[in-house]
Amino acid sequence: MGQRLTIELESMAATWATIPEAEILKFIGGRGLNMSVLWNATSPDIAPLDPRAPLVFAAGPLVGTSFPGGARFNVSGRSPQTGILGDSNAGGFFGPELRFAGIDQLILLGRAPQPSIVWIDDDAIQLLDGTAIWGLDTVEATRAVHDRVGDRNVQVAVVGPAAEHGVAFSGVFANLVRAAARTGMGTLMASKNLKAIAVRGTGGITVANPGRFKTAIDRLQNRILNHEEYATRVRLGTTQLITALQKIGGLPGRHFQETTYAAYNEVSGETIEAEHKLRSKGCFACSIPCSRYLEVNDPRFPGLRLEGPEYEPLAGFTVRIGVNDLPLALQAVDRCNRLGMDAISVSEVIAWAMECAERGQLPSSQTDGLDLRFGNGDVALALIEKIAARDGLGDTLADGVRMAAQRLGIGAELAMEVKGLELFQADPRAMKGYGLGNAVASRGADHLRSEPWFEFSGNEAEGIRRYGIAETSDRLAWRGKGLLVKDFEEKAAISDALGVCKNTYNNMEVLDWSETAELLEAATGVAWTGEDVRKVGERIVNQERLINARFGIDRCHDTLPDRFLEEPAGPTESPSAGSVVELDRMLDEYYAARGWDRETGLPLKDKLQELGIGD
Amino acid sequence: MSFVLRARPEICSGCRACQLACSEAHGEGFNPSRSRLVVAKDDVGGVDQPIVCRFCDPAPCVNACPAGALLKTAGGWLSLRDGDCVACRACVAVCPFDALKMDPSGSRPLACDGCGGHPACVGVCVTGALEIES
Repeated sequence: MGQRLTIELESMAATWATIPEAEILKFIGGRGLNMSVLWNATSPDIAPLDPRAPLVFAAGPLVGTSFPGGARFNVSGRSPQTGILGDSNAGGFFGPELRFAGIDQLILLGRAPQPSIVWIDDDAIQLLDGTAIWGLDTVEATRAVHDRVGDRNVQVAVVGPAAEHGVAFSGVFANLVRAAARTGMGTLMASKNLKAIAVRGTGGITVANPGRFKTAIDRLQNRILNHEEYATRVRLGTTQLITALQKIGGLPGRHFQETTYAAYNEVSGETIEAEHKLRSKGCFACSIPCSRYLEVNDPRFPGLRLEGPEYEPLAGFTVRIGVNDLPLALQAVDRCNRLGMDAISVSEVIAWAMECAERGQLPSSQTDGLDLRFGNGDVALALIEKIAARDGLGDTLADGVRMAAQRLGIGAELAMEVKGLELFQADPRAMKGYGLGNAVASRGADHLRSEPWFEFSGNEAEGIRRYGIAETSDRLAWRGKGLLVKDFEEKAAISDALGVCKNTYNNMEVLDWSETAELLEAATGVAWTGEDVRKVGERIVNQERLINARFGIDRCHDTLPDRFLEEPAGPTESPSAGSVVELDRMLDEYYAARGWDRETGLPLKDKLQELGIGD
Repeated sequence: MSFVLRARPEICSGCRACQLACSEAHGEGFNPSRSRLVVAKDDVGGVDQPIVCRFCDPAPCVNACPAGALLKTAGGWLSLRDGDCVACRACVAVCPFDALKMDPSGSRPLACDGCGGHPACVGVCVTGALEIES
C-alpha cells in the first residue's frame, strides 16, 4: 500500500503513514489521492496562501515502473491564481524518484522560517537553508541544489524568481523544463518559503505480480511502437499541432481573432526540426521520446540551447501574439522556464494587452513606453521580464488576465479565461467538445482535463458505437459532446491517478478500461475490474466539483469567453469559418450525463451516494 | 559468443529505460540505482551519456579483486560470486571508465553479466543508443 509523507515546515516534523486501502480503492493515487486530501483540508476560510493551506505532491502507482511514460506527478492545492481548485501535472524524472524514495504522496504544511530546501534522501528528511539560492532562476537553482547535496543525479523540483515575487501563475519546475505550471502551484510553494524539493530514492519499486506485469507491458510496448502516430510523435512531439491546427482552422491567431495563420510554416514544429533540433529527448522510461533538444544559433540570443518547447508555449509566443520570429519565440519560452512561469498564462496576458492596445482600450500612458501591438516580439520579451519582476504594467498582468482586466477596468470581454485560468492555444469554435471541456474543467480553462480528441476522427460508426451519436466524431457539431467530454474526463482523471502520460493513455488510447484494470491488478495485487477503474475516474471528477462548489462554483461559471459564443470564427477561408460554440446545449447534455443538477450544475445526492463521496 | 556494449550518446534520449530494465531483469524490481549501467545526465547542457561496462580484456576490475569473487566468463562479461565478495570496492576504484559502481547497500559491486548474452538494456532502447557489437 502507498505511503504518505507529511512535512510540517514550521517545525520540520515529518510523519509517515500508510494510506488506507479504502482511500486507494476510491482514488487509486496521484491526482485522485490529492483530491481526497484537498477535500478534507481546504475551506473558504483558509486563503490560498495561508500557511495552513496544504501543498500536495503525488505520483500514482505506475510511476517509476516500466509503464512507458509512467513518469508523472501532480501538484495540488488551492490556487492563488483562481481561488478554486489548483492542480498541475508534469513528467520528467521527479515523480519516479519520489516513488523510489518510498513516497506516493507528499503533503507540505505550514511555512518554513526562512528560505528552504526540503531534502529527502530515502527516509532521511531534512530542511536545508535555501537563503543562498533564493532569487536564482530555475536552472541556476537546480544546479545549486545539486552542488549543495553533492549529487547531480538527485531529482529536484524548484520555483523561479516569479514565484518568489508572488506572480500568480508561477509553476513548479523539475528537470528544468518539466513544468507543473498551471494554477500557480509554484506561487503556493514559494509562499511556504520553499525554493526546492530534492529527492534521492534507492529503494526501488516492486509490483505484486512481476510476470503478469511484464507481459502486459510488453503488449503495451508493441502497441505503442506500432502505432500509426509513433513516428510523427518522435519527430515533432506536440509541436506537430501548429500545422495540424492550421489545416482545420483551429489556431489562436492574434489572440483568437483568426483561426488560421498565414505564416504558420515559419513557426511550425517541422521548421524547428529542420533548423534547430539536435536530438530527441524522453521522460523517464518512455518509448516515445517526443521532446527535443534544440540549439538556436542567433546572435541576439547567444548560447541559447533548450529542451522543448511543447506546442502550448510555442504557439503562445508565435501565433497567439502574431510573432513569426522562431528564435525569439524560443528565447521567450526559455525565459518563462527560467523565471518559472506558466507560458500559457504569460502568452495570454501579453496577447490580451496587445489586443486592448490595438483597440484603443489601453492607452500608451499605461504601457510603460512599450509599443504594444501584435507581431512585436521584443515587447513580448520585455513584458516577460516585467511580469516576473512585477514591474509596472507587468505587475498588473502578474495576477492573470481576469484580474488585469478588473484592475485596469478594460477588456473584460477580451480576457481569454475561464474561472480565472487562461485558455489554451486552440480555438474552441473549431472543436466544440474541447470548448465544453474548457468550460467545465475543474481547474479553470483547460484541455487536459478531458482532451476529447475523438471529435477530430470523423469516424461516425465509432461515434455511434461509443456514444450512440455519429456527431461525436465531428468537431464542428455539438450533439453528443456532453457524453464525449464526460467519458474523456474520466480517462484523463485515470491517467493522472495512475501517473501516466496522456499522449499514450488518452490520445493514442493504448489501453481500455479492462486492460487498465488488469495492469493495475498486476501492479498492486488488488482485484480491479474495468468498471471499477472507470468509476474512480468519475469519482475524481465529482470530488473536484465538490471542492469547487465549496468555493462558490456552479453552472454560471461553466462558460467560455464571449468571442467563442457570439462571434463567428474567421477568416472566411478557414475550415472553421462561421462557427460559434453552442455551449448551453452541450452543458445541458453534459450535466444530464453526469447526474448533476441542470440548473446549478452541481452533483445530485444520488450520484454522490453512488460514488461514496461528499460526506 | 562474446560481445561489447556500445553506447551512442548522440542519439540517447536520456529516458533511462535501460537502467530500469537492468534492475528488473536481475530480479530487483524497478530500481535504477541497482542498475549495472548509468545514464549520466546534465539537463542544462543537454547531455545524456550512457556509461556501460566495456568488458575489458584483461579486466582491471577482475584483476583487482582480492577475494577472487569477480570473474570474467567465457562470453567476455562479468560474473560475481556473491558469497566470496568482501565489498572492498577495489574493483570500483580501478574501473577506467567509471562503469562499475557499488550497490546502494554497499554490499557488492553491480557487475554487468551481459544478461547471459541478451542484454535487457539493449532490448528496451528505442533510439538505438545502446547496441551490441560482436
